[in-house]
Amino acid sequence: MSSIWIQIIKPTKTSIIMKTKFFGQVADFMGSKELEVLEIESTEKLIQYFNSTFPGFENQKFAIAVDNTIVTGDTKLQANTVVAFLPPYSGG
Amino acid sequence: MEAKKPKNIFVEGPISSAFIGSGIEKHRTKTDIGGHSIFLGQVRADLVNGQSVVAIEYTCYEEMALEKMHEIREAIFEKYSLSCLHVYHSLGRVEVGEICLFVFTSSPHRKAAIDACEEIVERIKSELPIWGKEIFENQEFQWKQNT
Repeated sequence: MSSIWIQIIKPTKTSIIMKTKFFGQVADFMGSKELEVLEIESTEKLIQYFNSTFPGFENQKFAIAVDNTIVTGDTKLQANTVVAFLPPYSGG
Repeated sequence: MEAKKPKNIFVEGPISSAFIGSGIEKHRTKTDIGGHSIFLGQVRADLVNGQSVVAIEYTCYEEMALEKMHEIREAIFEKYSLSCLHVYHSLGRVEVGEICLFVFTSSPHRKAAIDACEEIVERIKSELPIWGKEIFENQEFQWKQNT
């Protein structure tokens, strides 16, 4: 089981802090429904960060929503953005 | 113009037949209605590798699901001459045999209600960020896959 390394960083005025949310299989894999990340400017960079920090993340299947809207392709992120990792839906 | 707050479609646990019945009763006074179409999704005892499903646990990305349902509702009212449209979806644990989805459309003439109901069910299953965890007799689980 991989260990989680937590760095306490004091946010500065220019820090970009965003919430990432996980659901379904992805939440099971991450062992968490939410994580805050710092200084990640785009969805591609966020995926790369998770791929390198959580081995096996690259095998997860998901769509990405930025502030409740599905995005395709690399999307810029801003402070207070909420990025959600959504596995295939199975409601109903 | 003030933006409408999305209606809450989520219900904790199963949807009871009493609730469904009372929904029908509530429309008695809407005398322009000629037909209702009702879809009920029930949890099925699927057999997977010799293990039976005993329940499904539903979770959702609530904010996004309600926004999306609001969009679907607006599009359906635009497309069909409906008098009413009600959608309820369970969250949390629903046992096999219990109802987890209740879609209820009403219109003056039946075709609109029937067609709208079908379209809403398909759109809910493909477009709402809701996930079902199938729980087996032996407490193991797998994530549901919609077809």
